[in-house]
Amino acid sequence: MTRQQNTEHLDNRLQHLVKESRGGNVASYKELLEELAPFIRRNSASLLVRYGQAAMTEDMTQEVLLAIHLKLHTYDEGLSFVAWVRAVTKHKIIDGLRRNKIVTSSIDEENAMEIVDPADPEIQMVRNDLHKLLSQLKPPAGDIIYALKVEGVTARELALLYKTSESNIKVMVHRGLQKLSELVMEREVA
Amino acid sequence: MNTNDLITILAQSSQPKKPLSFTAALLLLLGGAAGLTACVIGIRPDLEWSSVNITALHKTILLVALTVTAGLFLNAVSKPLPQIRKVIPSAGVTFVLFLCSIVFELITTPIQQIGGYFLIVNFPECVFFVTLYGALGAFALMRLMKYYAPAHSKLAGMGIGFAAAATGALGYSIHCPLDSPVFIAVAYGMPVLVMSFIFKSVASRYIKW
Repeated sequence: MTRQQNTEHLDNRLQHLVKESRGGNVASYKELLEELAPFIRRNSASLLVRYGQAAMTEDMTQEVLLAIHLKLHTYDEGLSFVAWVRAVTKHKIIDGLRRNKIVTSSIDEENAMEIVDPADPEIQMVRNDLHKLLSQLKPPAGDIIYALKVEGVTARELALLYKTSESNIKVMVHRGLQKLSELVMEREVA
Repeated sequence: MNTNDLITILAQSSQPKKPLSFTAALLLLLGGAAGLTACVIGIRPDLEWSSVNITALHKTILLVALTVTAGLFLNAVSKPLPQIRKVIPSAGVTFVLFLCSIVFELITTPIQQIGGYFLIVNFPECVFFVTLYGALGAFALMRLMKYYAPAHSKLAGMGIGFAAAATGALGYSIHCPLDSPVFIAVAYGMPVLVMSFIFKSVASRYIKW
């Protein structure tokens, strides 16, 4: 099963649980929260680790779970629930980082959702290089390429997040990758 | 607290009550604005319940279209995944209605007559009351927005100002006897636009969820 299929499968399952929870099924609601917790933890960790705040992961996971509990009524059935959870997670993390007075100038545009071992310096170095390279692209192409190619976010989810069509996302990725290869070539020549 | 404990507590606690919808809130604001207008400054004298006043009806249709668009926009931006595309049909209809009305008026009515509408007391009155109703409504909507989850606080603030002022304009319209589309676009549209941009920067600072 590909990553995209995995996400779609998870999305369908979560949407089903949301529907049942809204019908008052307590067991389904508990199951929903239990399934969401590791997903949120992964997403939070991947964002927080970039700002050296991996220690906040568990607190943020709890904050996001609480926000989901309070704001579940703002989820429209028919839309991707995974995308909705990612949007809530992103908002709460930006909020949490700002509360702790951590500069978040670029996180607004980021949607990183990756399992990362913060202790591994090689991964950090590669990620930093990648970010430097991607930041040279016209926003939000760099973020979209990172989300699609590194994190496995689907084009459909990205289209929803960036309020554009799937084909536009694909065009942006295609052009961005072309530009990236030119940049890498230039670096090598230099 | 352990995350598993939190999950158990959340699962056992009842799910929070759904807050008042923005549609209901805007209807309440409209009732308030219309009620206040009728009680304090009075209904326009040429409005008779026994016969249909075509120009007043036309003006109401224009303002209802604007208010519906504002309401849809506010509803869309109050969520983590805003579906702003859903507002496009309504916004398009409103734009076309205003455009056709204005063009028709410019063709059929002398410019001096239209210009004269802006020299009488109704113009500053309209601007004042639409701004006043809009500001009062916007503060109420800002409180309500705390129960929602807007992805973009600036857009949410803009939606608040837009919806509150458009609703205020509709409520106030029962007092103003001028039905000129150009007058409506300027005297009602200007405060709506100004309120949208003011609340875009003001409300975004206070919208936390």
